Amino acid sequence: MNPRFKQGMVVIGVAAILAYMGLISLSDVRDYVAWPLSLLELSIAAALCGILLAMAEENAIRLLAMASVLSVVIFGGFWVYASWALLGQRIPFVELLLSDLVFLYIIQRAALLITSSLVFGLLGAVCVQIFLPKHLRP
Amino acid sequence: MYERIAERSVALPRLAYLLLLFLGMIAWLASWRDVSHYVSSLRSVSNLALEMREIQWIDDDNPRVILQFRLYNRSPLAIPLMSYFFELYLNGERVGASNSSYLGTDPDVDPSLYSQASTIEQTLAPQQHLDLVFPLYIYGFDQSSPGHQERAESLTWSVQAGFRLLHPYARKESLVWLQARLQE
Repeated sequence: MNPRFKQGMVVIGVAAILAYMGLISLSDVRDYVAWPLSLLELSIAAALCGILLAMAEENAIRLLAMASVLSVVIFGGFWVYASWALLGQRIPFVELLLSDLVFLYIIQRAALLITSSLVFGLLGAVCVQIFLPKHLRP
Repeated sequence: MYERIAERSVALPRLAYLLLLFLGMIAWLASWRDVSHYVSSLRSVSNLALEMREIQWIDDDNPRVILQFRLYNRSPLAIPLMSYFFELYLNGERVGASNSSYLGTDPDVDPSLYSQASTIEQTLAPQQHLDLVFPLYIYGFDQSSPGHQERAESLTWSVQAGFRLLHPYARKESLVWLQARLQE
């Protein structure tokens, strides 16, 4: 398999996991899911992603950074979709994107998502690089 | 032994890679499902509507009305109702109130309608309605009764009702306010 394609797939996978964790830790959405997450659990999940990513790929730190940025895009996409569907397309799309409901909310969540996923994901990845025997690393 | 170690060093990254792909796919599907549930649940609650159907005066000396209103569920989801309460206004003035736990009986009200309306905790099926019939004593009658007003003056009845319900797909309970008007 082409290594670039493989890396792209794993980045999308990790981003989807982080975005989902971000979504179900939202106070608005947590009543609608079976297992809502707290910020601590989100951080643990990010650390596990970092561990798995470091076990799967060599340049895990770079891929993790890309995944955390992509997770915000995915999270933002879902939130924009939800806001758009709930507002019944009553306001123009650009206005919706710039409204407090979407713009500020996504910026705030993006900061939280990127911070926790980067910090704890990197912690997991670094732990693997320190503690996993060399012959088991990718 | 070295072969075994070499095998492990190939298998572990592949296992981690496949696990991440699998979890990522599950996360995509779960995100889509949960966001859809969130949207359709909030939409269904916003599709509740109230209609005031009839106000019937029973007795001018002992002023009472029989108030009939109907709650519509115009959404494709069933909505569990926990309880409700309402206030009745005549020309903007509050003249009475009642709620779903009121157990009084009135000979002028069809008992089957009343028992249906006063059953607490029922689920309103999609595209269905619930008829609510309540006898109400009207206070402030001296000023507002049709018997004491000129008949030509128009009467505007309005009801403001609060419904405590469970959101579909959620453990979330909320209070939804609905209003309806009737011009006589």
